[in-house]
Amino acid sequence: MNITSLLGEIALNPVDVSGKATTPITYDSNCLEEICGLLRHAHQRQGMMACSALVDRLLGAVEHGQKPDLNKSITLAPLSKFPVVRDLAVDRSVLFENLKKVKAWVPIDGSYESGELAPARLPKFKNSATALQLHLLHHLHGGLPPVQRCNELRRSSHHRPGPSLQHGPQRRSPQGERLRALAGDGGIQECGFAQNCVQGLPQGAYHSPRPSATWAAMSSSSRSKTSSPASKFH
Amino acid sequence: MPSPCPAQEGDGGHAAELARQNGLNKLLLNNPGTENPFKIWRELGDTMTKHATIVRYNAGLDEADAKLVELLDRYKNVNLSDKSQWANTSFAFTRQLYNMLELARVIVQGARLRDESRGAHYKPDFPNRNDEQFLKTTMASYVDGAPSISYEEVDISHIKPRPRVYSST
Repeated sequence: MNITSLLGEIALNPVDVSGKATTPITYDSNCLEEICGLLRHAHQRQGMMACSALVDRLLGAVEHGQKPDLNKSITLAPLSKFPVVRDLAVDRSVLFENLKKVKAWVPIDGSYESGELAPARLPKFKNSATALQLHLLHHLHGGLPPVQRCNELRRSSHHRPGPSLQHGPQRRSPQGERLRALAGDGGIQECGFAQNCVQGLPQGAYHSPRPSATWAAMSSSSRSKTSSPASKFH
Repeated sequence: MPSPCPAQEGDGGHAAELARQNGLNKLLLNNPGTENPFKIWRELGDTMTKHATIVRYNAGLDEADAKLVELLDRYKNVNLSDKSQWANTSFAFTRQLYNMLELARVIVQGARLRDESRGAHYKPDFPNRNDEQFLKTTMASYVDGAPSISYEEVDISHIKPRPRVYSST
């Protein structure tokens, strides 16, 4: 059972701790496949996706066959970095606005060709998230330590360390515009503390142990512009 | 040449539909019933999973349709445990639940009338595809509060239907 189905069970008979009837819990959910990232919550101050957060595990049954500790309780809270709409539902429109700003999509050819194929990613950075993703993850996982400046773009987000936004399978991307949005006014360089990314991200979300992972990803995006033609069709 | 899309008279039925929807919403928020919409939904899911997935039996489909009629009846007695006007997801859910129930009847009745096995849908009582009778698209319209099933011919002028065979020979 995961947190989503748990919320569903609660809706079947919504009562508060004293047993009095109350309203079901409000939450957003969509795909339930750990893709859309819509249904997220914070459990013990750690952000996670509710559709893949297993109740057994949260109750201590980590190994196969282990019995969950039913005396334990699970605390759910809305993500702390967004305005709360109600209960667990938060307003994440800031993410979408920022994704629009950095053109977080892969353009494909329409009735005309939309440009050259972008160079293939360097294998070195295969597992490293891009600057953009670092920020998104950071923000969604709610692990942001107190910072002096948290500008709009640092809060821009995509929700999982998947294939890089910089190079989709089509390897075509508006890199220049993206870089400008990330590095221009209000961009990530206005964050004065790169360690935030390292501290805030879930383990393994980025490849490089260096604190400047963000800058590594940034420079990989600019480097790929000048990479040799040989790497073009990897 | 007359326009293919003539202008609607008046407001095109906008005011009437708005009044109808508002009426439905008000009814839903004030209904003094006893049924939990999430329970009805759970029963709907169980029924459809049991009777209207890959393997289908006519007796089971009849049973499912009877159950759906019962659920639609119970839906009238629905009571939202949340009657607030702000971010009320139970309300949106209960509105959709009605459509789910009606659509489930379309699925069940459409399946009931096809005495054949086609594609991923398998009726053990009728294991073969029956192109003569059922090479047709099922259409449903809403007549007197229930689905009414009709059929539309499939255009096979370009590709002649042939048996679907997966053996290598």
